[in-house]
Amino acid sequence: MPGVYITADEFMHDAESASKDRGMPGLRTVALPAHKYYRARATLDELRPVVAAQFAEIVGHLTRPLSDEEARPAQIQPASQEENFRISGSDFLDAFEKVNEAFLDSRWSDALPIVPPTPELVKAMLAGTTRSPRDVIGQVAPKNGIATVEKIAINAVMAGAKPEYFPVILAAMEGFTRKTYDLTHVQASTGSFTPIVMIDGPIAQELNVNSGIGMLGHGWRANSTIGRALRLSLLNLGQTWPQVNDMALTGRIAAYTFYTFAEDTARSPWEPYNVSRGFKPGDSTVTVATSWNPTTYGGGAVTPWTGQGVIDQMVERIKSGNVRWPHAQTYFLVFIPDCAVDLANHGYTRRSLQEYLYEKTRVPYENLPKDVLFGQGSEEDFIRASVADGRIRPDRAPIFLDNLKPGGRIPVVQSPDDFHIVVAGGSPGYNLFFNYPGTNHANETVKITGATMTKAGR
Amino acid sequence: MNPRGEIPPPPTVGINPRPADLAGKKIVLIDNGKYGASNFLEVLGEMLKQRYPSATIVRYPKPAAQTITALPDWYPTVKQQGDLFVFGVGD
Repeated sequence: MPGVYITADEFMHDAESASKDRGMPGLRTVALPAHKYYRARATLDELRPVVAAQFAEIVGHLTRPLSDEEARPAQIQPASQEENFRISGSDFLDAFEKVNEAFLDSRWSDALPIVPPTPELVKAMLAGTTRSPRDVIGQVAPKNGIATVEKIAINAVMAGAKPEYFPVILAAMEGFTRKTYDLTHVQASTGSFTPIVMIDGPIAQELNVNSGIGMLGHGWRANSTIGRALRLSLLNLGQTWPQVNDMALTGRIAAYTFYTFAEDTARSPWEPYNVSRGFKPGDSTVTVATSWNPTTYGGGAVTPWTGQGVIDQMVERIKSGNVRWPHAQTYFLVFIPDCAVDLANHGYTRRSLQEYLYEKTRVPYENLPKDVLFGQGSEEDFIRASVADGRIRPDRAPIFLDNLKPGGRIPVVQSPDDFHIVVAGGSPGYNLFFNYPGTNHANETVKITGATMTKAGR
Repeated sequence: MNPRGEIPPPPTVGINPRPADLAGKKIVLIDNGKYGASNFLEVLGEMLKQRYPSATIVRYPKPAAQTITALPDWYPTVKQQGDLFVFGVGD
């Protein structure tokens, strides 16, 4: 079917990249001037001159005969790349600087200095796992680069990670590359989403992963370099670059290390998070999830709080957004140990807290937005469509359908399981509220295996 | 060592032949489910109808809040809607 694709000029690199990735390099695309389009798009009258200016080009793309190259493009050949190369300098510092310049020029680094991935260091990294360097962990969106154990090791070296961290990094990459995890959206969306990397189980203590005061900050090599190894692996194996095919508008607040921390299972009043997801007590796991920037609840060192007060503030926050895309919403709520203990002392288990949040955040049918964010009918229409096409799972569909009537109360998520409850943070501390209003699933927990340098994760 | 992984190139396909004229054609306008693209195509539809009165304009939005990769069953339905398409992705 002949057609034309329209985007803004700031997204042309992205469009060209995507059309090649999908095997249609000749896709005809019209670029609107972004500085005019984005201001004009709110009303039809303001848009008329913008459309008029592009009208002839759009019609031309729909009617102009094809060139030979458009009709029969050459098969794209695998890019040949030099796997090993030598960079030298007049002395160590000169060579180090040249490596960093060369890697950044090739878009292989995050622009902070990297550790040069020499064969010796990569070999040392690979010693941290029993897995073969050639094992394929998965393919990394958006370009579907093949993530072998060796390639991830190269990126882990660049990040400054220790070999004993490597099994955690591999498990996280397995989570990111699962078919059910919407990595394309996370890697490329304008929404500027940031991955959460949460380590659970005894390996966290062995590796000294911070789960207390400052856990999202600097100063802990495990937090910083596990996160950065994943940052670089996603960048290099998915081959993304800002303003090209990573269109995160603000960039990411935790761009270099993601939100990497451990659950504090020792001070948690509840079973470890991974046990609540079906893993065995004593298993070490890594959970990868996605979020917009977090907000904090509870008073830190300044203001008194109660556990009940904290969760009721969270409930009000969630309810204030009404129901928006319940098929896809997930909440990743990190309670400081003191708050979790207070909640437990008042009778909450993790499960009952999930159910409390699920019930209390349900929104009256009368409050459902009459418009949805994307202008395709009401929220009720959207929910019914989500039930019809299976985005709302069949086992959850009756709850939605039964409540789409006056007096009904509509859940904001598919099930209580979409409230992920984790315990971490300092004393005093802030509770963290992460939310992903994603397009698809973005939360995976993976068992850490193959470790050679720690007691856990073997 | 090179930190980039191998990328298996997809099979390459050409784009489809164009009609010489839009008169009498059924033109499918697809927005990506966002306001800007929807408004843009609303205006474009008016202008196409004005220039080509015998053309038929069909609005066929992509289901909202789903990524392209999540819609393997939806894309084939586009070609049942008409002769040509204009796909607006503008947020």
